[in-house]
Amino acid sequence: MFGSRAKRFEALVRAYSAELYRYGYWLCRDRFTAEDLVQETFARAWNAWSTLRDDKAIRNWLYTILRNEHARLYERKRLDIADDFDLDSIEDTKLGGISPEMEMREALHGLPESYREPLLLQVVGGFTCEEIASIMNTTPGAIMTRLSRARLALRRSAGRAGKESSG
Amino acid sequence: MNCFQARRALLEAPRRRTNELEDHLGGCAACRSLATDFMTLDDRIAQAAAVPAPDALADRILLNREHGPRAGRKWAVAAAVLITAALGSAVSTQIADSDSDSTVDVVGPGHPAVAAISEVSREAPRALLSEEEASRELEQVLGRAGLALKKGEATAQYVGKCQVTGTACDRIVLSTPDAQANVILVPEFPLGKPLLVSDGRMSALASPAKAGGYIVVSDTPKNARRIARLFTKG
Repeated sequence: MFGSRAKRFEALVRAYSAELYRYGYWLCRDRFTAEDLVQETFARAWNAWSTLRDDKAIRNWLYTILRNEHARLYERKRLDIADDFDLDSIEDTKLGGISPEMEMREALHGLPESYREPLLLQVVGGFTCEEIASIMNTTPGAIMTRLSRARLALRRSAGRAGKESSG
Repeated sequence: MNCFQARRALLEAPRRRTNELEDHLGGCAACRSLATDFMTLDDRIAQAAAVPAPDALADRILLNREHGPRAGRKWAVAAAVLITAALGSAVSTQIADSDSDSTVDVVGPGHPAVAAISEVSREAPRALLSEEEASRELEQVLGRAGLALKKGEATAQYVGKCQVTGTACDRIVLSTPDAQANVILVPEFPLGKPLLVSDGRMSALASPAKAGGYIVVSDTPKNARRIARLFTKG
C-alpha cells in the first residue's frame, strides 16, 4: 500500500506522530519526555517492522508501544488502578476566573491516571472500549466503568464552567 | 435496538455510530438528548486535550532513523537504569505462594516471574495473528511445554517469541470474556512450586509445566490465577 518499507514507515510517522505525541503528553505531562516517547516508539516500530503482519493493527500497536515505553520510564511512579478513587476531589482543584477550556484541562489533569488514560484514548484517539482494553491490557467492562466515571466527574466540572462562562 | 443497547453503544464507541443506533436516536428523544450531551462534553474534552505537536516532529523522527537515534538511545539507557533500580530496590514486591497467599519481601529482578512482568511492560506484541493462525501456533507451543488449554475458554490473540532472563521463550496473549493475560512459556527453566509476584501494576503467576514452566502475567492477581486455571498438563 505504501510501497517500500521506508516509504511506508515515513507515511506512518507523518500520519500518527502528532496524535501519539498528544497521547504521550497526557501520559507524562512533559513535552520533552513526550517527544522522546514518540521517538522511541517509532524506533521500536522500525526495528520490529519485519514481524508486523496486520496493517489494521498498526495504530493500536503504536499506541501500545508508546504506553509500554512510558511504563518503563515511570514504572515505580505509576499509580495502581483505583476504581474507588474519590472523584469529588477534582472539584477542589478548580481555579477562579479561567476559561472553560483551561478549566477542562485542569479537570483532566486532576483525573486519576486510570480514568484519564482510557478517556483520552477514546475521545482523542477514537478507540472503542475493546481496543482500549487491548492497549491497556484489561477488560472492556473495566474500561467502560472507568469511562463512565471519568465523564461523570468531568461533566460536573464542565457544567459549572459552562454556566460561569455564559453567566 | 432498545435504550439500554443504544446507551451502551454510545459508551462503547461514541464516534462510530451504526445505522441501528442512528435509527434509535431518531425515534427516542431521551437517548438523543443524552447523545447530544455526550458529544458536547467529548468535544470540550478533545479541545482541552489538543496539545499542539512540536514543529517538524515527524522530520526529526525520520532523521533519527536514518542517522541513528542519539536522543532516543540516551533515553533508553536512562529508562533501563530506572527499570533496573525499580526492580532491584522496590521490588518490595509481594511474592506469594499461589495456594496459600503467604508473602515474603524480597525477590530478585532475575526471577523469571519479575522478568516476565518487565518483558510484558516493555514489549508490545508485534502484531495480531488471525484467529486460525493463532490457534494453530498455540497448540504447537503448548504441546512443546506439555500443556493444553481448556477448549472454548480463551482465545489466543498473539503467539510469538520473546526473551526472558536471556532465554528464548514463547509468548502468548490470551483473552477470556473477563480477563486478558500474557503467558510466557519458559521451556528450559525448571520452576518449583507455583509463585505469584505483583509489582503494583501487574501480577505474574509462575507455575511448573511438564517441560519448563509457564508464567501468566495479568492486571490483577485474580485474573492471573483465573487464566492459569485454564491450563491443564497435556
